[in-house]
Amino acid sequence: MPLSTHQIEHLVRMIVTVEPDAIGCDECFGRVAEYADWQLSRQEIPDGMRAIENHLRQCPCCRDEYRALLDGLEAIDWDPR
Amino acid sequence: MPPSDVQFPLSSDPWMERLRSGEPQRGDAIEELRFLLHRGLSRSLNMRYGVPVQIDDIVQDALLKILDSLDQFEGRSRFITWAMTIATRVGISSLRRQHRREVSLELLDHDDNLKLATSDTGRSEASQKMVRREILQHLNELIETELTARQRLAIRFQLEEIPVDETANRIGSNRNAVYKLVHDARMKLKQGLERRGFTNEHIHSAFAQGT
Repeated sequence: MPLSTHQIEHLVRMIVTVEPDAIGCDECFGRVAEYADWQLSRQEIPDGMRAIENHLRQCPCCRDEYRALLDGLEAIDWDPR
Repeated sequence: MPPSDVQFPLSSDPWMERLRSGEPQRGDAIEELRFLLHRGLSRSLNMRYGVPVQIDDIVQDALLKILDSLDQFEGRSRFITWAMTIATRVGISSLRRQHRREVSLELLDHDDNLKLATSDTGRSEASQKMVRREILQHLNELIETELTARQRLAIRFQLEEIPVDETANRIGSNRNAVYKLVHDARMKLKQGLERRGFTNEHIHSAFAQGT
């Protein structure tokens, strides 16, 4: 089954947008809560968190979950309990 | 939103103490957590994939997983943020399972599942079409020579918009490994094209008006 025009374009985008990524999904998941707190606090993201940022740019699955996480945390409205 | 002067990590987070204490404090903490997860997931998951979600079931599964994982909370984030990462993954995984797409056996059985047609029907200048055809020919060669069969299959699944978790199931792997597999393949193809003289700028320019 040949690729459609749309799929070929998608593949080309996957190739031109790829960047080296130092971590995988598991490590991202282990540290993403910390990253979310930094981001939502509007403080400057520490250099040590840049790998998370990079992974979220590269991985659509983790990025989708992260967006949902931010939506959920906003709804919780940072209850201090 | 949290106050802008908040500092991390938060050492005064009382959740852990409450969840590890005796009754009735523990039960009260669990009910509060259930309430907050419900509020958060109702916002984040409902209609995310175009359909309403059974939030109560997802909250219950998430709560059990969170309580089982308390030893893994290191206090590097707010407790509620950490709990929501687990709950969000439980919820989205469940939604993705419900929206599992049937995978064509043809994709699984054939080794040339990432063959690119180089015929070009796009509307553009002849010179641009020629460059595009050339890039696709090189790409076909690179796919054939640089990628493994598993990499070709994993990329094809991604192009079919099959979730990574589902791809992992299909090829007997896990999400982290599938991500690495696809990422390494993308890097190989990019580096291969660069070695053959095609930079990102060349490729952008050639595909600017579609294939």
